[in-house]
Amino acid sequence: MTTPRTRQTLLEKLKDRYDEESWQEFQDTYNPYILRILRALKMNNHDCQDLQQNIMLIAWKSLPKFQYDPDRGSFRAWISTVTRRETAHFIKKRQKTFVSLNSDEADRLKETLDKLSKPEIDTSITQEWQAFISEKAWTNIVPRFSEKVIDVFQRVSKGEDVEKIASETGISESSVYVYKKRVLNSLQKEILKLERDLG
Amino acid sequence: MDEDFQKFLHSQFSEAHENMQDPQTLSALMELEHERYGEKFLIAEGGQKKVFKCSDELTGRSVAYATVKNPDDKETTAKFIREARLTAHLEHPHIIPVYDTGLDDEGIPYFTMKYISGQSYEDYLKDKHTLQENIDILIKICEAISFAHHRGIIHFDIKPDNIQVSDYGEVLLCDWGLAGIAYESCSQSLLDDDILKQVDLSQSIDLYFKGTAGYAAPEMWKKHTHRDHLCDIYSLGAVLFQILSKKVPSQEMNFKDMEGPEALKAVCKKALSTDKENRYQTSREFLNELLAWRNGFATKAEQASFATTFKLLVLRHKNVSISILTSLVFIVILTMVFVIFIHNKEKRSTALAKALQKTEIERNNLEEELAPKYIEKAQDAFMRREYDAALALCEHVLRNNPDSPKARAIKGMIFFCRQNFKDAIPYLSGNILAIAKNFHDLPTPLNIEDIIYIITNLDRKDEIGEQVVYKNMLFEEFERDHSIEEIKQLMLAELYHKNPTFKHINLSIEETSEGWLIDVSNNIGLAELYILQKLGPIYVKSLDMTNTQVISLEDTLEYMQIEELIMRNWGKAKIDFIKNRRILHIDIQGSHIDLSSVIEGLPLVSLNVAETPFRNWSVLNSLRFLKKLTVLKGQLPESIRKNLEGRVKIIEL
Repeated sequence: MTTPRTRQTLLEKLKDRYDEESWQEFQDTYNPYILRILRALKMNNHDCQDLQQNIMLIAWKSLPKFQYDPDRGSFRAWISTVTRRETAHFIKKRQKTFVSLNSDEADRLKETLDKLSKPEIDTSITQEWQAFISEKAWTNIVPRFSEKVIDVFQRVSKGEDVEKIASETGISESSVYVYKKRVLNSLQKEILKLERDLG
Repeated sequence: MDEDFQKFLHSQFSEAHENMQDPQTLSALMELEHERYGEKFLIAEGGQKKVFKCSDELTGRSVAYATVKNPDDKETTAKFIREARLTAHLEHPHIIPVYDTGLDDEGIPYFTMKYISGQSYEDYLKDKHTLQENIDILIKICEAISFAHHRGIIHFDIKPDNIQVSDYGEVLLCDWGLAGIAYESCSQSLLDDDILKQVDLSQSIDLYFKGTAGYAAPEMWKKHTHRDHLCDIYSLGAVLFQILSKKVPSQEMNFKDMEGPEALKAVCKKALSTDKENRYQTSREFLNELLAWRNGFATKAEQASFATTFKLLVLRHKNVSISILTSLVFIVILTMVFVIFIHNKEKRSTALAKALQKTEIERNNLEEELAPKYIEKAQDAFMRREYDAALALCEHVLRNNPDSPKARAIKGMIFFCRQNFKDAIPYLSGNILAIAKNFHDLPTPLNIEDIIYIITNLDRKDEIGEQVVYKNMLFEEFERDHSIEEIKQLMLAELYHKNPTFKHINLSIEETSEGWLIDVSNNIGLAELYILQKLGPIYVKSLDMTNTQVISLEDTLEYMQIEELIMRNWGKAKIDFIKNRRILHIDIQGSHIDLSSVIEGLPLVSLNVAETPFRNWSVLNSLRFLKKLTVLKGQLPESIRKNLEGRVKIIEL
């Protein structure tokens, strides 16, 4: 990827303030991503909450020390590593303390631990990141357009017939294309921006 | 959100990044200005413009964003654009750099400049600084002005308020809004600039009446006079006056208010001459006077006497002067001592000195010659994991040659192997440095996940470097007190790393009271299993390698004592090593291996050679402990069967 590597604006801002308010913002921003990874690892609700809190705290504490450094890699890579490591750690502790886990539970944890040790885990974490960013980008741009534009865009992108959309919404076919292009542009731009800000 | 649309959204992630490859799309994506500059915070307001601090989303830095205050007034707008253009023409370390100019969404012109976190020179002067510090800043401003004059641009509004001093000592001259162009001496690029031509600025006097009068030269007040670069010299003089008198200059300055060196007072008076012919004629001259004072020479304005010059000479070389005096005293004393003792000492001391010098030279030469040998030895020791020895050798080399890259690298890698990442970092470079940085603040020994991360990320092609680190670390992990699960995790990670095409690798290890149970069966195509060797000298109750044919079996199993060896369905393979082993049970059913040549006299208890090319059946007579034999029906010759019957249970498949 050739995203221009600049200092991460959101992270910089949070680092500068580093108070209650920015902690809240930090959580609001990254919690959904962590949750996605944990869900993909099939952790149950209760465990997710514990782990999530843990991971966020570790990340938050290290934030002032985190400096953008091309050798070291992005914040997202780092926070993914923390998530992976904490999860493995969590499961092992679980396995040691609760000797009599019910067998379903034990199997599930074992499976997750296995998964964590395999190379494919990187790919699936990357996928979660992409999903997280693209969905967040969508949420961000929706308010910038009218409901009609958004509706048309969703229908076009799902592959509905343009002629049909045009006749049902009462706009011209070329307008459908224009709507599509406008939203698509905005969406892609937002994706790139978010990746730069949050990665 | 329904699933189809969700899928579509996710696909846009890679679409967006693909578009990034196309520079045209990229610039289209990034071009909208209101998105380029983030939320704005007002930091300054002047006569014609407002300045905000904001973040530049394109470059990720903070910038000062200036916009015209009253965009409806055409003249102000024109002046504003002119200021942007003019400043942009001046690229100098002490002149504020302009990054970008343009129109915002509403068509209002703006330009962005470097954002400086600091204070104005006006405020700086109010703080306690030494005269030298204050003059140093003025010197930098003189350099900027000298440069501008050279380019044919006159500032016309020099005052401490227009000078920014950053927290890190950077000095920048700002606000070129009133600047004029000396067309007779300016550069071609200025002459060609149409925008600059549109606004003639000989009219800008009006703004001087708004409070900065003290810095303006007297001729600025008169109408129809030629205003030139000598106005700037006057203003520089006024700033110098402010430094010396600690008073804001006014039209009625009193030179008696000035304190400090006579030299500077003289320079100041000359620059502030009402008659401009009496001033310094170029800013360079004024600058040279300040530099002369700064470096301890007499200034021209001072018209120095010999005494002043000599005083300055001594002061300038204060340390040298003291040294000279001290040395003189010492020389006198030493000479006396020397004269008395010289006769008895001379011969002996010269001889001694020579001898010393000689051995010193020889030693240095020797060290230099030996350095590569030491490094070689250090490398060997490092590879054998004799870290203390290796470190001592490296230190020795580094004492004579602190920059020796090889010694430094080995030292760094040893720290790395010892998981002392913090100390390793200064000595490492490249990939391994990047890895070390990930772990320098974590408690050690690292847990198994981190170790796996490290060993899978080290560059194994680097044979005398990272590959050694990887081998050593792997070794050490197996020596550490890990649970079987962790060991298994480590082995699997290693196997997956070496066999990236494998989706699933069978590996089961268990430690029982009777020995280890190892099952690596059914990994068809796995080339080698050297990782098993890392388990060290263990007693293996059972090792199942069915369908997993690997190379160099002998090396792989070198340290193991094996009770039961199962390797069904192998192709041809070398198994000579069985000769020297005390294996009790062998099962090689279906393998293309002739065991008959290697098992003579072995204490085998059970043997399965069904469907194998077993040639020399008589060897079975030598197996005195054999209890159970499995063969294919009709395979076993009758004579041998007779010999074994009763003693051995024969199973025919």
